[in-house]
Amino acid sequence: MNENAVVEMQGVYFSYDGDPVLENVSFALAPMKFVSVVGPNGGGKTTLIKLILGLLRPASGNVTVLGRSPEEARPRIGYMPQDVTLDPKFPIRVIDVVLMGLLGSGTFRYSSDEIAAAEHALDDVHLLDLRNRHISTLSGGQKRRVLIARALACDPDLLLLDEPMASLDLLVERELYKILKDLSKKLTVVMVSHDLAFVSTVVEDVICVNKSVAVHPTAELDGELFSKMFGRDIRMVMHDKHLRDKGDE
Amino acid sequence: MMEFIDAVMNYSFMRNALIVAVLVSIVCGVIGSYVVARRITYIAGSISHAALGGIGVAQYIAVSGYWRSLDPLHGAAVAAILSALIIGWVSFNAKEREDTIIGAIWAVGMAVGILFISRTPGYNQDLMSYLFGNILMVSGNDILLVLLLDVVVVTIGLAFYNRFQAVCFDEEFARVRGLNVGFYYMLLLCMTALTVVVLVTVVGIVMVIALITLPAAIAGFFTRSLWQMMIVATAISIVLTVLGLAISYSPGLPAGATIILLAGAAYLVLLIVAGTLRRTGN
Repeated sequence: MNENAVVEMQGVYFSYDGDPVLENVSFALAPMKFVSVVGPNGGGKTTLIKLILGLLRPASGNVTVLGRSPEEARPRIGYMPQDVTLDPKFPIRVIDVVLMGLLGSGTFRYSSDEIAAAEHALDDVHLLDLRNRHISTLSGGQKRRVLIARALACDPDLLLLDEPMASLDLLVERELYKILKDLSKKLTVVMVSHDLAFVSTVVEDVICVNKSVAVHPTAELDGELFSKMFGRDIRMVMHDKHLRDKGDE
Repeated sequence: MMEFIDAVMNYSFMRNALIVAVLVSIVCGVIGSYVVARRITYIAGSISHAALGGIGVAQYIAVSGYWRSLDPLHGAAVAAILSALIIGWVSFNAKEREDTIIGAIWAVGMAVGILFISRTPGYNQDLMSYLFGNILMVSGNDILLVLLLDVVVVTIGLAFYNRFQAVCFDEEFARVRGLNVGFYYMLLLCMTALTVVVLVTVVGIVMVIALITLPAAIAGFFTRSLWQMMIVATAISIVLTVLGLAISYSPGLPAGATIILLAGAAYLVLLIVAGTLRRTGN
């Protein structure tokens, strides 16, 4: 048992209706890091995040978050789900979405302290001036930043983001990475991503998920390791990425 | 129109109708906004039709003399809450298709109602007023019941505003923030059920679904947040119900149907205007 670990799993198994998704997962995550969860589609990335949040329970094994059970740790966890599930027609302003991160008081109105905290979180993602806009008027990148602000509003020790970069253009993606990188100086940031190549240039560790889980410092990453994880050579993808980067500049 | 104003001045049934119109509009505004935002109109429809089952059973019990003071609206409230709980439970716990259950409750509830009404001694023309509403027949007792439901529904609807909003917008996130999502969803469905019962007095079972959704949907064109939608929807609902009453009075048209047609027309016009504005890029 690692005393300082932000997230620790020991011998975790999980399956949906008997289909094993994760098998014998054991790892520990050190605090104050910027970490990415990578792996193929259906490899168990989102499942891993939901186990950390306690939204799913392991069939066997232990999940410890911030030294507690996932449920007990939730007040200290900021979470950003994939945003495809959200209804763009829902009548809600940016500030209302962020305030949701402070739920729990149960009163009709949020207190002025809570509103100040929500505004502070919005400021962290540079969107304070859009506080009263309806969410449907925001661009894709701005929406992601609102959801990051919502995750940050409770002043968490651990930030979990599920595919924050999906279908964003490169420039917006860079901007988001910068925001997350700055945040990772104050708290642990764990992000699910598809984009191995670029991720490996910004994060410190990658958690490779494909039924099994392995944590590697990015410095150790090479094509051979990826091939092992994904069953194919992905250096082609990395190469492609670099070309696109050059083309943009 | 003068005739209408004259009636309001001189007849208590018209004043009762106006009072109920305002009371109903408040629940419509608050709960209708949740229903529209969460997209559960079809659940409201199912609950309202299932309420007929309760009306039929209550009427049967009262007329048969087992329990004379039992009001059909009491039966409607019990049946509505019951169907709300079943739908809520199914959508959270069972792995059944939610829409199938909603459709089944819709029709089975009506079937129960029709069966009991056919067995009720002496024919009762009240059935029509429950199906299509009769706001001009509202009694003092009805007003008290509507007022009571109003207070309960609006108090709960506003007291848990933040939580209902979160559960409607992003259930999973609400759960991560420690909310008992299942409980709040059930509670919201029960408030919807009570709202349906209140509305039955005005527009009847068949048209409840329109009055619960159209004012909120119309308000949606002008508002950016849920509480704004609630206020505007309440105001719109008051205007529509009072105007519907006024228009229908002199020619003796059914008030419920007139109100619904007004609401439908207003929504249609706004849809067309909004569509045109979008196309011309304004």
